[in-house]
Amino acid sequence: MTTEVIKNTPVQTKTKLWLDVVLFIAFLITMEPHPSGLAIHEWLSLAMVLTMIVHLLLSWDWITEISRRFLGKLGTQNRINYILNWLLFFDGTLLIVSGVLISEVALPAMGIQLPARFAWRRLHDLSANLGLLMLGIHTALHWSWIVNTVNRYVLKPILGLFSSKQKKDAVI
Amino acid sequence: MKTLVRTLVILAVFSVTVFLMVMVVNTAGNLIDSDGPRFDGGGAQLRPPGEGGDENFRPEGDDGDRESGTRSFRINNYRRLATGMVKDTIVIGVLVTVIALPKSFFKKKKKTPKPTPASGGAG
Repeated sequence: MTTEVIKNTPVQTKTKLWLDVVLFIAFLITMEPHPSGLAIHEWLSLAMVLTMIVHLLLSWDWITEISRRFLGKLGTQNRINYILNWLLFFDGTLLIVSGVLISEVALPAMGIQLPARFAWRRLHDLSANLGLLMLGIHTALHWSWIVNTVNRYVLKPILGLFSSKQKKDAVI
Repeated sequence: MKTLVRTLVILAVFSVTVFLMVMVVNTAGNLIDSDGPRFDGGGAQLRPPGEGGDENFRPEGDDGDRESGTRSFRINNYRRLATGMVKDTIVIGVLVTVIALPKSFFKKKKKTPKPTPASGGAG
């Protein structure tokens, strides 16, 4: 669906793929604050904010193009994707804000103490669960891109290594 | 330069969203506080004041048990982390299966040409 509108360079696509893999694993770890520990949960979440900015920068052309065309002629899939991405952005923002406001490790370590409110903790839990569902839909809507990119940049080079080795063995 | 401007735009949108969210939640919280009872934990103290102050509070228990239990506690934590990660991956996997697979199935169906009498289709 992204490729319907914007074509990225191979370097950009590869960077995006590995960045998304790292983000996905980090998200799964941060979703389990009790076993991973509060310190890892908070610092990893803050690091994810920076990674998310890079993720948005890599999709910048798509965002601006769809924003421009949103009210005009646009495919249903791109429209749904665009709306879902905004919802994901709002949910992510709520997750970050509520997380910062209830922080027990990262912010106190920086010497910042904020007045905690009970509502923020509940909002943090709610936005985390919503985020998981929206991430699932986001992944599903980009599934063909994921499959194609993994095939092109991960599987084919690995299979290519084996086939070239076989050719060399056959020559010898 | 272009990247810097784009980053600033993202941060600006993020800041506006944060400002609005904090305002809405705090206003809603104040309205609820003025209407109903406040949540203050019922005045109960989670950490009893000790001689060395609250910071030195440690839960009761034998130190020997704690040391010997650390390894199993850590293994248990890794297990819980792995289980939780697998559980979340399954949730995402189910969503992908429900949304992406029917989509690709219909796409394949569209691509498959209908057999015409001239091409000698079934029957």
